[in-house]
Amino acid sequence: MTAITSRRTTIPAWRVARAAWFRNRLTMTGVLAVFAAAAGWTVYQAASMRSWLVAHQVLGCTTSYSGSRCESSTAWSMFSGYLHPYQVVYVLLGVPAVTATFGGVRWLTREFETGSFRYTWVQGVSRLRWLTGTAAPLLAVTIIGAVACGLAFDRWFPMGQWLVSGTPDGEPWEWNGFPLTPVTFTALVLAGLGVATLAAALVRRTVPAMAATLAVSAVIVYLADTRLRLWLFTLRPVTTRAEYDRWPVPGYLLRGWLTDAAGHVIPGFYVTHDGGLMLPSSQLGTVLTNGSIASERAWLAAHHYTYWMSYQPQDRFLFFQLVWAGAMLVIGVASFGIAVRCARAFS
Amino acid sequence: VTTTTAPVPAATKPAAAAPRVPLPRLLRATWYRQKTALIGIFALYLLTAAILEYRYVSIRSALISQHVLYCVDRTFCPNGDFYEILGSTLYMDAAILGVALVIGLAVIFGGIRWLTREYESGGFRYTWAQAASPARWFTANWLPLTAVTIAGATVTCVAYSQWHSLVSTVLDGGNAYDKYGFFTRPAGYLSLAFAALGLGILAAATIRRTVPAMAATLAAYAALLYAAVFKLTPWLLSLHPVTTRAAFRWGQIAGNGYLVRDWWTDAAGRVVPGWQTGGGFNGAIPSPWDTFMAIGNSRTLNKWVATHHFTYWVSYQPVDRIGTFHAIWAAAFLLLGLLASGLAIWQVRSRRP
Repeated sequence: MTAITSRRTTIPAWRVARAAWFRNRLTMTGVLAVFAAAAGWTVYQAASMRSWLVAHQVLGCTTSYSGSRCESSTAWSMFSGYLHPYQVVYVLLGVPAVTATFGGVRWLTREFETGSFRYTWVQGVSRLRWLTGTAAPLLAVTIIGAVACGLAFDRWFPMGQWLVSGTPDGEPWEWNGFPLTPVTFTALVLAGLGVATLAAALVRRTVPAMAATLAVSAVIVYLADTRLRLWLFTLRPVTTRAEYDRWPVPGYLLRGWLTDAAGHVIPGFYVTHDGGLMLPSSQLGTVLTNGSIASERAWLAAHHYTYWMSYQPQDRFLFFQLVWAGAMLVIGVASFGIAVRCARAFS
Repeated sequence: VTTTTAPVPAATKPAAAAPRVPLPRLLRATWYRQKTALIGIFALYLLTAAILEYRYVSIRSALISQHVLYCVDRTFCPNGDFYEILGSTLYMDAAILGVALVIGLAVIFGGIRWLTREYESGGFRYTWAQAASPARWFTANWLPLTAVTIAGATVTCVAYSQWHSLVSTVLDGGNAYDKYGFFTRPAGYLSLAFAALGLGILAAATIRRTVPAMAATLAAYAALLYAAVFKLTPWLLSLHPVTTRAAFRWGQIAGNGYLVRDWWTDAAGRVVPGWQTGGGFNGAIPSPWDTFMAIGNSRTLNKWVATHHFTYWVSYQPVDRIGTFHAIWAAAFLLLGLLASGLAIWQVRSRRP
């Protein structure tokens, strides 16, 4: 006669999370402190810029580029010389990698290095519940911190865009702003945490896992910002005829080009996304180098040239943000899923 | 009743002096124990140098192929291809940031763990028990680490200097006092690497736990870099400037030097209020300066100034002082590194576990 074995009791998730808090509170406090410092620095810089602009009576230039008044203002032209806008951008771009490296690795590698996970596992907590219960408070703290940083950047951007963007138009399309809004920044931080968890589960030793996390996070930030973002912007652009050297609507200019009367593209001429102008070495190039805008337009019309531009309208900005953030979340979730598999396979 | 007395011990022999472990043996042991960290540090510097060297070679070949190499030594190049090949200053700033970051990464991932691991695992006891004093043990570990750091930093610095010689026209207008010039020059870079290593070792000796020591070093290095570039450098350059009357030219600093301050005085010798260093007025332009601000030609400007009896004063650092400033800057960080390393030795010797 065999005895009926009792079912193992399931420890509720909140108890696992509570234990995780007691075990990892220093890490969580540290992560929150890093976010608070970055957000505080950003808000401080925003306030500095604002007070400088108010003191020099040019704050209005940040909301509407009021042509001659701002262009002729010495204070406005000196705005960029007195501040260091990239201090904010580089600090914020570095935060995801730093939090992933210092906050996302050790909570797991320490369990493996000390073997203390066994105490949890033998008490009827499954690998998945253990990993999720430990990671959940960290994720919650990270999301709060990341959103706070994103909101701080939103406060900084209306003034900062005049210092870091070639063509400020109200939305952070460029590399130095696109990943720093609340949506994209939170997704980027979560992707970093996912990578950190995966590195910790695979490597199981703190310092090598931290080095791997830092390297992979830096690569992800770089690729997401320079490759994925630019690739997204090339999808289904709006192509339209426009007046030469005029920005028809706010948005992200992909390129501009000229066609002749027969509709052939003029080789050697193109306008880059940041307004840069490449000119051919023909008569066209000479005319567009030396003339005023009005005379250039008149000359182009007289010679039956047509200016074309392809761009992404401003109202698509949120869509791009969501797609980009979605891609980052997929990286984070996939990394976390693989980490769970690694933990389950580990006995 | 018999009384018993405690046995009297025989005369104790003087303890034989523990044999001193020679330094080469300690160094050899260090190599076996720390070879991954030492190789890693050097590889990190080498990788940075390789990237810079690759950029140097590719930029140089492009400049040669477009026949614009002669523009490298000029403040302005008439051929736009030159600027197109060099790329944006943003990428140059990123390269400079990378050169600074590599020091921090080498210290954080290579310079801390050799000490904290000893404390965490207790492995140092085996060494100390074998008559290697804490100071000798520390020195035997510190020496190879410092040597590798200096060697790696030198390689990176040489590559940086080559790359900078091509891009300096665009990066800083060819001005000797370029904004990052202090920590990217050989003496400055090596002393910064030495100071960062000292801070890392001090953090390791004080905190004795790997990850908190790494985090503390990261924060300390970031603060050090910020203070070095944005506080120490401007302060140094403000010391004992040359003050003289000068002819005014927009954007021109006397003798390729560093402009500390410039101002105007009127006929009575009073300072014209509102003038900002570098040119322009703070807030509304006072009369009759609105006319002055509209003049573009330097000769006309100075005629206007003479007519209105204004005098232009400039306070600047001449270009021949730059070597002195670089030496002072490097000495400050060398001192900081020595101080931090000394404190770390003191920590190791005084706080025995």
